[in-house]
Amino acid sequence: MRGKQVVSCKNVCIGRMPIMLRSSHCVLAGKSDEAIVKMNECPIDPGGYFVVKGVEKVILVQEQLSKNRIIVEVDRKGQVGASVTSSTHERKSKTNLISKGGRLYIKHNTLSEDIPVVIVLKVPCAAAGAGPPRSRAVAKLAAAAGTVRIARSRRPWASSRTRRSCSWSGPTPSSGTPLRRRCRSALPRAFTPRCVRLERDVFRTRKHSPPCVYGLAREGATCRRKRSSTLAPASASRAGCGRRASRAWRRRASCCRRSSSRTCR
Amino acid sequence: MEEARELLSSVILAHVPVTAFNFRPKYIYIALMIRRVITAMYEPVTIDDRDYYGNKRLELCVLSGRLVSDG
Repeated sequence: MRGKQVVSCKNVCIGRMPIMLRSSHCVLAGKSDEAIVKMNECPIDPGGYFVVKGVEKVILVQEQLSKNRIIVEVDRKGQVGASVTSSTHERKSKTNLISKGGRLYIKHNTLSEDIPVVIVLKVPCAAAGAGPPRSRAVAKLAAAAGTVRIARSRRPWASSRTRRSCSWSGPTPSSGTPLRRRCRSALPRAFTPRCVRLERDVFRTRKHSPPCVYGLAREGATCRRKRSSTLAPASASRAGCGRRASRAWRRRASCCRRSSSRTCR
Repeated sequence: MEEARELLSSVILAHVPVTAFNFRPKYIYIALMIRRVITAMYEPVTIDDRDYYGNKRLELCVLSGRLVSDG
């Protein structure tokens, strides 16, 4: 820059860069042992370091656990949990998802107590006042996880009777059952608050799921297709999230609810 | 309540951005975590190995003073 004028010129030296020994740009590259000995260098020297002002310099690397990645591991109590070390340019934090007695909680340094996952999933919808009813939002997310859909009910915690009927008493799965089914029956137990009623086997997927959950949602989609052909042929053509379609879905969900609350009691 | 929301949006899982209190991406992420945990409960093969190189990230010592010379 000269004043307001941009000046460009080529072939200007802006500094010198060390070259790693034995790298493709090193003079020793591709030489035979004899040739290297002739150059007064050691043929069994592994290279990989730099020479700066006559001093050998090595760059050390540090190994760290990846950030922003879900790591599933077993804790000291033998419980499975997931942890994520989130890191942005301004903040670093570690969030844990732990299981206690088959229930899932979120654990974080800033929180004095562990929070049941379902509460976390529900809070902002309630606070924002907009968007779908809370339980539906939770349902969608559970569906995104590819496991269950929670029955749509506006106020699952309305009465104690409802609450009682919602408590889960499904059979404990044996180890022989297929994985997906076992997961499915684990989920109602994993979500703590009893006020949320869980429907087994009811799946839902969203057309516009982001790619990260797409594969997971698809698993649900196949199941849904199966189900819709047996349960409600009329709604089998339901394509996505249209209003008409979701009404049909609701009808179907409520009929499932009735059937499964019987099994609950 | 505000505080809780703020905490959820900016501290917990800080790398998942929350714009205008749209928590959907964050919840999908949590849901994914839930899924991984539940899967791991029944399929111990899916538990990650901390020492596996794929879970590692290699970092250089940023400070030039810590560049060690061995010569």
